[in-house]
Amino acid sequence: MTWPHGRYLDYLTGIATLDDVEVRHMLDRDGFPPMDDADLVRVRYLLDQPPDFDAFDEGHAASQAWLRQRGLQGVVRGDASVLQAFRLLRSPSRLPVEVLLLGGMTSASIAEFLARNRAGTWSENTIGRFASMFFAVDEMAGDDLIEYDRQAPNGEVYKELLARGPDAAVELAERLLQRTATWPWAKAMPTATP
Amino acid sequence: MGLPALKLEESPLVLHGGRALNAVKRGAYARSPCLPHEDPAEWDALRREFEDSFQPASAPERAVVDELVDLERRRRRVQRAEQALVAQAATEAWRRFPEALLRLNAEVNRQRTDTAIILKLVEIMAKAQDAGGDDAASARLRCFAPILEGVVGRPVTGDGRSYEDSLAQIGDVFCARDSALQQSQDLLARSTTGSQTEIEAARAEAVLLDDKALKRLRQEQVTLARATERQLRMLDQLRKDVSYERVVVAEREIHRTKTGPMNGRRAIVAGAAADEEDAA
Repeated sequence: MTWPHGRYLDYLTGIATLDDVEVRHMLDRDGFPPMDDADLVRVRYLLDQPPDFDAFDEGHAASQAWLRQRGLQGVVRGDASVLQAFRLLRSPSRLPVEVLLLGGMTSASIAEFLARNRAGTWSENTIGRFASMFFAVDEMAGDDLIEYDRQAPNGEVYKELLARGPDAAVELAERLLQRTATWPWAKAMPTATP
Repeated sequence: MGLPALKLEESPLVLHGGRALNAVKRGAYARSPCLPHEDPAEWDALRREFEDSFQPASAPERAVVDELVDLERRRRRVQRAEQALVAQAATEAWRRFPEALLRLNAEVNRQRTDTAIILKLVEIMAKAQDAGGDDAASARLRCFAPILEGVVGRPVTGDGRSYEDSLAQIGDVFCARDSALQQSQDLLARSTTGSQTEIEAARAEAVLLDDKALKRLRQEQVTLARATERQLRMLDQLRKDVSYERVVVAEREIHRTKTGPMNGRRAIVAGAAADEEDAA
């Protein structure tokens, strides 16, 4: 099975070198479905890093090629959009953004939608990074997506959306934003920074 | 409470080309080289290790070494089954605990993992600083910032902060978390001190629930140990150039004298027969 947050898993296991307990802890903290031992073994096996891998050695061509292939160069560089994508992940806007991405909306339209609904000024770049790092549903096979919906904490919402089609995404996202706006703690959450 | 069963989806019938493995419980008696949930590579490695270690020089020696591999494989299966049983009993014992205590335990575990993550990433940065100075350490900090931000709960980079400032801030949070962890651990220890006896009782009870299965496992372990001992004795005899037939007959006699009825009489008869053979 592939996961929409595959790059995040590669980052945790391959670059931050967290062990299984720590990876599970981070997944739980960031609201991803739990992974069993076999899944984690598979993720580590598929990392397939080159010998003497060093993500921070810009002179090590094999390591840099691996990072490019996995789309993790920006993460290692510490790009601002990566940090913003993590902040979006941990903000109340996450679920509406996921819904809109599943509905097939582009990053630019989502950024505009969020600004229109006063859900923070998340840039197009941040949303693009969020999609590639945590919700790369367009890179998943249909079966894997259904399996992921079965496991994910918000899976029921995704399934509903898959059943009702992309037109329902905007309506659902608006409803979700209205609901999260009334959460008292939502106001204290870190939202976008320019 | 039973032992962990094989998954139905991984139907043994499908995996083993129609041969029924439905009755397999622990695999201690299974002659199959590899059960559906096992890794064939592990058994191949085991066989190679045994062959390297014993270096069988003839067909009978090879047969005995094969038998030893098979016994070791079955012994490992029994060992795993026993571990699973004890783990299950421990889990069962924990389940009987008050919800609040379980939540506290989970919280302690979360805090412990938080501090472990902070420590690990700070160590990586410190190593980089030793090797390549502040720039190398800052590069790692920028890369790990999203994880640290999640664990620490506030931004650790930006706003004109230098690497040293960020590290100091992470250090403050680490100390606070560590102190909170100590307090939670103390609280947990105090809460469970009174109930330590209850924990032990619940665990014992959970184990006793499946006492029959545990006894059976122990019995299987003894049987396998005896069989291994027998095979090693046979190998030793074969290496002293005793013929294979004679080794097998002698082992059969030993087995009979140890386990069969009228032990004394059989032993005398076997001893007399051996004496006659020696004389001949």
